[in-house]
Amino acid sequence: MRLMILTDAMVVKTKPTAYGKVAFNIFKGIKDRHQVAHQPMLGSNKLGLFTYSDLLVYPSGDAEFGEDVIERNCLHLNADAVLTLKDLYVFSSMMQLPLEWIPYCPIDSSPISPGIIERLKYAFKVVSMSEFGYKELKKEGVESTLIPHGVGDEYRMLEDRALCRRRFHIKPDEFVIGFVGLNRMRKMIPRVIQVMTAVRELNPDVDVTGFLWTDVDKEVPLKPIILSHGMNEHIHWPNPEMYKQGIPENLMVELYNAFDCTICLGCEGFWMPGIESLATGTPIVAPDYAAAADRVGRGCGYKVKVKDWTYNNPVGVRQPIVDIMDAARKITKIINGDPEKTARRCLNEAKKYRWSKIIEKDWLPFLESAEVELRPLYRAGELIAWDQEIG
Amino acid sequence: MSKISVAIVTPIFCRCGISTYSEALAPALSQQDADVYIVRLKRLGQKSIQYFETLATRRIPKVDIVHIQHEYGLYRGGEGAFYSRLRQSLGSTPIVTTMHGVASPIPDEIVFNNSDAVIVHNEFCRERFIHDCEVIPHGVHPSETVPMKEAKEKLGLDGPVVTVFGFIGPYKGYEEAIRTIGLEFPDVTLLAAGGWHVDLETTYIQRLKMVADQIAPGQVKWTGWMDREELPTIFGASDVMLYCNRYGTESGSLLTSIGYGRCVLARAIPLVREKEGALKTFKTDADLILGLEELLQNPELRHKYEEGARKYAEANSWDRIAEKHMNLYGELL
Repeated sequence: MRLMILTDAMVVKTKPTAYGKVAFNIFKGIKDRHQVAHQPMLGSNKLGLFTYSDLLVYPSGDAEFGEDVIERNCLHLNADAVLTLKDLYVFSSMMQLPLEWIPYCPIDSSPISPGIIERLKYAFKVVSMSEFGYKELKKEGVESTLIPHGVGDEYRMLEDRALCRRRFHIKPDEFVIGFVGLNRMRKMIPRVIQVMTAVRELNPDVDVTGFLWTDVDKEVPLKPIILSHGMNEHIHWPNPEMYKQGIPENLMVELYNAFDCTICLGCEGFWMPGIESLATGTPIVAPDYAAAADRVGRGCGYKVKVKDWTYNNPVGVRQPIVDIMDAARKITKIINGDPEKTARRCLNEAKKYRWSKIIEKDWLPFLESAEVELRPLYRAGELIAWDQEIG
Repeated sequence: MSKISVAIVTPIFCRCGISTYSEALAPALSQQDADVYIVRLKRLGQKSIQYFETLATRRIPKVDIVHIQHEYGLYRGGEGAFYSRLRQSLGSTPIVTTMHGVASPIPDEIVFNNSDAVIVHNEFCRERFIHDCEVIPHGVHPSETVPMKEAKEKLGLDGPVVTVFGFIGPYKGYEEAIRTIGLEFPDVTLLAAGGWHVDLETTYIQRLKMVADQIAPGQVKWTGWMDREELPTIFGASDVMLYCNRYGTESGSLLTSIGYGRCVLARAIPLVREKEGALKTFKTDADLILGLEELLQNPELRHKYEEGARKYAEANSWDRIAEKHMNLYGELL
């Protein structure tokens, strides 16, 4: 199949987003059997058409999400379908274009916004990325194929975790609650700071600290919040410029290895840091809501109770407000638990997210079945796909 | 004839009458020793000239015959771009077009000038399509229904059931069906078996439901869009199929009703009149009421039309229709 992938830049930026990373791994996994091209969003490619590591990269166009040139690019490629990996509310004209659209769609709240459902009616196939998303879509009458994101083999438990800590200036005896993500209102980072504070108070005999791998000066000014909780000496954060530029993937692996647990308190469409953390043997803590909760397998972390809800976010979705004390008590369980046993369970849980498995078990069969519908060949009463190279 | 390869340009696997048609024709042709390549035409979306040019020049495989399933709404004026580029790129490969609608002069002429053969479904269309064309009827799947008692139980229906089947649109005469059942047949259920192409409901369907609530409260059951597997139950539960379309060139939904061997009462528009014997017709509102009364009260009469429907279905089964297509392809090669 000739597949165009429209998402964040996979290859032209130094620091790919989670979407960019996921799309690049899908490309790597399927490129031997399918011809893949990429149109990066957000004006990332102003260079024109070029090839990078077998990947044909199309111009981004002038519109923020590339809808002004996606039809032209797809026709140039003679694409069978276009796979988008982005929140659906960004699309305003995709539905009207004569393209076979496969949205790989994050669903991060319940109920799903009618605007999302309306867009999905025009899709050729819908791919959901979490059990939560799959069920919510089904409730709204949208059938989807569930394909979770994957994690690269470079994410593994390192033998010398002390070295990882030294790299990030973490003392050997600290218990580190890590957070990895953009500084966005919906990520609820102030609440993460509250949880870090509460865990510290609950465990006066342990040196509990936090590590916010985010830009503390971005959407929510975090420094005043950290100061107001008296946590300025107990929370680490990177230099904003370093965060913006990004660090090599192997250092991200070391960062997760330096954590004692990884936390998320917002509503997520998948929560990539969750599986990256699991793959390094680090347990996770997530709200018992939306897709992050799906990442919490048995014995490899905890789901935190949701106490209330808020709509106070730029896109007006229903978001959980977690119970701070419940989160603090559950992290205390991790402090008092058996780290080796927990790490084993995390590593075991992460196996199901390995890219090789996701590609073989999910993406290739999905694309093959889609191909039969995109290029059907009836031969002696049987339905198969015809090879586009016949033309 | 030795094995031939055909590329059919059509919407496929979507909620669309042309798609349903192609999904029946293509496997039937493949049983007649043809390899049938489907070139997917997008059902919805604003199609540009570039889209049609790409479709015509880069998406069609090398085959013996290219067969276009044409309907005005699918091309929306793109016939010029599509057919001229198709003719250029195919060279001497024959182009066959099936016109699912006729009588729009400019597109008809473009199609005719660029096709080696044009197929229409009936004599009415042959007359309206002013150029030379072949009549190959729309095929029918002779199909079995779920036994009536079981089907009615499954659907929670009791007593006589009259069904209107197909996409629900403003020209399909739903108003007459609701009015007739509501005002004249208080003990009859009207089963509105169908929906719309992309949505659960349209504004029109919502209005119809309001009308039904006023005129025939509790008498109309709406199924919404149905999967094919549900059809044997729907048809099994139906004592009479009602077809009130005010116009049309051919009707897949009517032929599906015939294929299931149901007794059909249909408005006497030209495409229906050509099927006399396979169904009963009505011309006026009074005819509709009398005809329905007669059919609901007289099982033997219903049986007669059911037999007629079965005979029509056998005579126009997809196998036979595919054979006719193969003969036409053979003449062109």
